[in-house]
Amino acid sequence: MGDPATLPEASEFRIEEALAPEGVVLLSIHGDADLHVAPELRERLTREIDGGPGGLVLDLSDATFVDSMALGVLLGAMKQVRTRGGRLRLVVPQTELRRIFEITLLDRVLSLDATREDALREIRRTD
Amino acid sequence: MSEPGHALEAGARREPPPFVHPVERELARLFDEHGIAWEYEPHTFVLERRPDGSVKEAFTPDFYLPDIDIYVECTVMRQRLTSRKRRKASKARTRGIAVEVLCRRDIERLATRWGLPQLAAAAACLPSGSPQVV
Repeated sequence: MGDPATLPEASEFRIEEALAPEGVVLLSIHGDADLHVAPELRERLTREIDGGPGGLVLDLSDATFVDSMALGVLLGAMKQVRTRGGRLRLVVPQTELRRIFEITLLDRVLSLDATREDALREIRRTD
Repeated sequence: MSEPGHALEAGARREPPPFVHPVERELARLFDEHGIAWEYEPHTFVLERRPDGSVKEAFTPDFYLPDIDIYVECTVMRQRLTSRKRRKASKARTRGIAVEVLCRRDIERLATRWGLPQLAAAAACLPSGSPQVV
């Protein structure tokens, strides 16, 4: 993770699963999360949520862009998770991305953390 | 007002709609800048009807963000009007409509936090045709 004030270099979109405590799925989003990849993102999140983890953490530290389609997918995932009694937290360290969440007021609806550690700590706290 | 449900892609709009307040224009510009699709006042929700079926109270949020399925109501008016809008938004929420209210303080905070002087200046403007408060 680089300087949180700037976005990482643009790279191809991919989702990687990282090691997480039991009952939590931690996915790291890389590259541009936009309308082109929104279906892939939605499908992956739905699959993970259907798997029934208590907590889902999406780390956007390596995301280079998030458009409104991807934001819609994230919001949809949050609704799905809540319906199942689970929790979703997003790691959004870069100020540029955080600005998008704040301008769309999604920072009021979604739980954002500055670091992966914070997100994992918070998601376990609400167990 | 555009047609209900008519989704526009950000940046695809040819002519800006007649915004009531400069802060709405600034928000629309920010949405465009961040690739956020938006519609201006696309829907009106009936909150209450009279016994004869006529509309007693309705709510038309300023923006709809179709990809996110959230309505945004911004209000830089006097506190009394802000409270009325908040009450309407809260009534709309009980009907399952996702509405977030941006009041003057929220807008000023956004402008300060993200260095948006145009938004701050717009928040300080009175809407065209509104009475001056003496």
